[in-house]
Amino acid sequence: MSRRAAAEHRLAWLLCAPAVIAMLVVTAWPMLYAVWLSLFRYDLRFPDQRQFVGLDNYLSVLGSGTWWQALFNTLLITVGSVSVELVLGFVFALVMHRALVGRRLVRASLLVPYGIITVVAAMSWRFAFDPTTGFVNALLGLHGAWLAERWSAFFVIIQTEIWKTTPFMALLLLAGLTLVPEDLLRAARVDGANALQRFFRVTLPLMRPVIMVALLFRTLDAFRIFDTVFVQTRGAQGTDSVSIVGYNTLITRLNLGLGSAVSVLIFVCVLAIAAVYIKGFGIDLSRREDS
Amino acid sequence: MSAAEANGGRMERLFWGAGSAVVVIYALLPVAWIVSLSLKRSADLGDNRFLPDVVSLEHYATVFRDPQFSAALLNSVGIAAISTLAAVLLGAFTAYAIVRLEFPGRRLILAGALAIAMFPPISIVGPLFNTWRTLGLYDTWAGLVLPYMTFTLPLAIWTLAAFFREIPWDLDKAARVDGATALQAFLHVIAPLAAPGVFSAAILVFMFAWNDFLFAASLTSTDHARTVPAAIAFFTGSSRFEQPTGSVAAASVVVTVPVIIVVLLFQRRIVAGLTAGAVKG
Amino acid sequence: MSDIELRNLSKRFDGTTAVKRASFSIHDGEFFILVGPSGCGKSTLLNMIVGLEDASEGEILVDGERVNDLDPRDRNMAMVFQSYAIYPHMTVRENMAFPLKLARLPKQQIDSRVARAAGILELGDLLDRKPAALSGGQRQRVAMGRAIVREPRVFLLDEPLSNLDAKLRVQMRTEIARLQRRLGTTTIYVTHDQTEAMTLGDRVAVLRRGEVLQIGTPRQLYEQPANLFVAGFIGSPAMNFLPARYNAGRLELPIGSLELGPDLRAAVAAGEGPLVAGFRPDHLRAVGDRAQADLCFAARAEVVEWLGADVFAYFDVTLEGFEAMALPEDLELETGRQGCSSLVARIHPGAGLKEGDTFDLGLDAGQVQVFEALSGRNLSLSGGLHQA
Repeated sequence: MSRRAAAEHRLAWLLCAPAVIAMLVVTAWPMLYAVWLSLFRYDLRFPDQRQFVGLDNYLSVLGSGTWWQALFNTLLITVGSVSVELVLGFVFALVMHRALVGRRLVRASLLVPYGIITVVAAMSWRFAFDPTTGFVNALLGLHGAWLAERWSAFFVIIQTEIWKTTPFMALLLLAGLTLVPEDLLRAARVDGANALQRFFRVTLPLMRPVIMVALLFRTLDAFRIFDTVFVQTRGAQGTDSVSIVGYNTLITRLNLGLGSAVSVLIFVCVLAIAAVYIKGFGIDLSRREDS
Repeated sequence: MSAAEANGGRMERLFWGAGSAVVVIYALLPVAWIVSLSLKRSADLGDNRFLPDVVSLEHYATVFRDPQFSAALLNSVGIAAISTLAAVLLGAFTAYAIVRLEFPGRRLILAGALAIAMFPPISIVGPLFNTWRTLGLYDTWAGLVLPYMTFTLPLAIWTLAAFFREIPWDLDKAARVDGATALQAFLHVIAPLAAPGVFSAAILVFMFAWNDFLFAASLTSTDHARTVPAAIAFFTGSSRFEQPTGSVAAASVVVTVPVIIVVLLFQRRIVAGLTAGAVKG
Repeated sequence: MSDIELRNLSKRFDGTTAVKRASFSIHDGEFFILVGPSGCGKSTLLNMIVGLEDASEGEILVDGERVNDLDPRDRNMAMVFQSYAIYPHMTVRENMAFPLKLARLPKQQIDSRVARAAGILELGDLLDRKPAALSGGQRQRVAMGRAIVREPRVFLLDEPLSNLDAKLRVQMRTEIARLQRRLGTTTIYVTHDQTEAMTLGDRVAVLRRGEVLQIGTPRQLYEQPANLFVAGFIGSPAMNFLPARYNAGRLELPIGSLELGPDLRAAVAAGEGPLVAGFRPDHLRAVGDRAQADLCFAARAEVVEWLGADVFAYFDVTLEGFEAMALPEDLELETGRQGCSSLVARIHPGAGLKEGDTFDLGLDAGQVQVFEALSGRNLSLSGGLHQA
């Protein structure tokens, strides 16, 4: 290896070191610490009673209805929001792609849900569905308290999530749309395909990589949902997500041992989802960097 | 163009134009709603109307008089700014190394960054909570800057790497042949070309830090470091008996207006940043 | 104005050798060309000379001084890149002034040099434009302007014309030739186009797969190619090749046999392995009387290209009794279909030749060069490779 190549290696590591160290210290190490904590019975209200209990915490969590209900809720919210977002995102992407008038306005408006603070968005929709102050009931002639019942609360939560994150999906899909070469669509048209056929047979398959990446990120994001649920129901009425359960256990009840077990389980779930996407759908996350 | 085609063209444009209008309404509806709420008089808050009957600024007055809110604003701005600076700086160094230099571990770093982006923050809230208490970082700016910086580094690295890949690096060679040292080549040629990408990455990172709630809720408890999202979520209002709807609405508008301005001014940059990282990167 | 010497210069990347022991000199003020097919190492060689690549082995001397360890900025050489590499965020004026600013020249000198270069290259009106507002040809001139203002010891040009359209290329070719003559700076020019090499160079080095095959004036390369590759690479249309056999003083070809002169006989007889005979399209003459040439044969014109001053007739020759030749693939020569070779002859337009016509062609023994098919060595040259 020449002198210059060695110097290059050194420079590269020097440049990357700060970021790498930051990422390791604030993620890898706490994760390991969480695993460690999960093996103890450790309640901060009674710090002296800390005791090693092995996998007892996990058994407690996995044996509790709260966890499983939260898992179910989270999956429900995830599947519900991501599936709608995909379709709606495509619709918006197509609108932005084809609309010639005011494209900039449309794009700018779509960035507003993206830029708005999740807590604010959740508040806004909460107030909208509130029976006293909201306009939804007035509009639809209903009287119920949406956030007081489980399933209607889910509707509001999922609806808020969809509203907030569809724009991101739409922008990604729009970028993917522009990557489909015009020539291929023209060739398909000459070959006799109509608009619908062109969309499903040419556009969609070519956009598969983009769609998969977008889905992967959105699914993981949706699984980690916290802000919206917290603001709208605090997890009541059986609408808590796994992250809410974690928060309640750790911060509200100060039970580090149990809470860490929940944290680790959540991490495992996220890994599982990622694995399903990567192995199952064959997403190629390694990019050609030299091209 | 035949009459039928002309009509077809116009129909199509109308269709897509209507679609655009729907999209815009969809996007801005909750914003309009919360603005309207913030302008309603306290008494009118229960009138179920979309638009206010009588416009009143009382909630804004309440909010601005509340020291908790101003403290939260200051905290949010400061913490987000510092996190952005740190993340973009470190991310730029790393992205540069990844794009320009040959060294073992390039792929590993990118993969690692990706892994962190997929990481559930809740999983480390517990350990951080405990450690920060021990180290005295609980309820401090640094206590939030560190996790923010870390969780935005992947975003910064991927976005910046994608932008850096687009820069014609030949120019660096040309500058060296022209007589520039590495530093001069960087300052005069590379930096001006990288600036737009860095700016896009900075906006995205700032938005992320500005938006976070989980860490803010878990790692802060007082005005010292409580940021706006946490403040709004825990807002108790001026009276224990009234729902603080109006104040929350006013506070929300106050923090949303800058976002809208930024989005309007820099939409091209933001979109470029988002798509660079995800599609091209 | 400097002379350059390369001694055993080599470059290796991960197991492949990009440049193999290049040793030659470039004289002060010379327009020296490095030509060869893609991947032959010519750009790598150029990059080593300017310092953008480290040499794995060997030395580079400029005016007798070893420069291997100097950074590009200290070698006082200017380079024009294939992509031009002009700074998109600077105006034309700023682009040209950039190297001078880096060298901390006084403002007055910078301004005068930029003005002078702009004058020579006719960039005066474009000085305040940004590259995005320029055409390809204009950008190319800006790249050259940036090189000229430095008044360097050596100009290095890496395929500067390959991104221009055909007509502009011809125009810029003459501009560059004129410019170099005017400035008198030693110039090293890399190209894959043999026409550029032949028209621009004082001397040309032909490279193939990292090796320097021959160095000479364009004329020397054309008339006395050291091997099969150079013979087939230089000249357009390319040299005609046919398999050949030596038999008792005569060279047997699919089109007939030729009596060889005494000196050639010994060399060819000593040749190892299968032989290839080469002769240029302009060496084939249309003959009326069969006695006018050493070897006459009839040919049927398959394709006739009429270019105005020249007419090129393409005809087929069956290779009965001869093995097909294996010519180097990077010459990209059409070896014809199975059992047939496609050859070209240059005909006078006055002959009125049409497609399908049969005509007689003559070839003189002195015009034929004989090569060893396996090694490529030109047996017709006495003494092997010519070095200038």
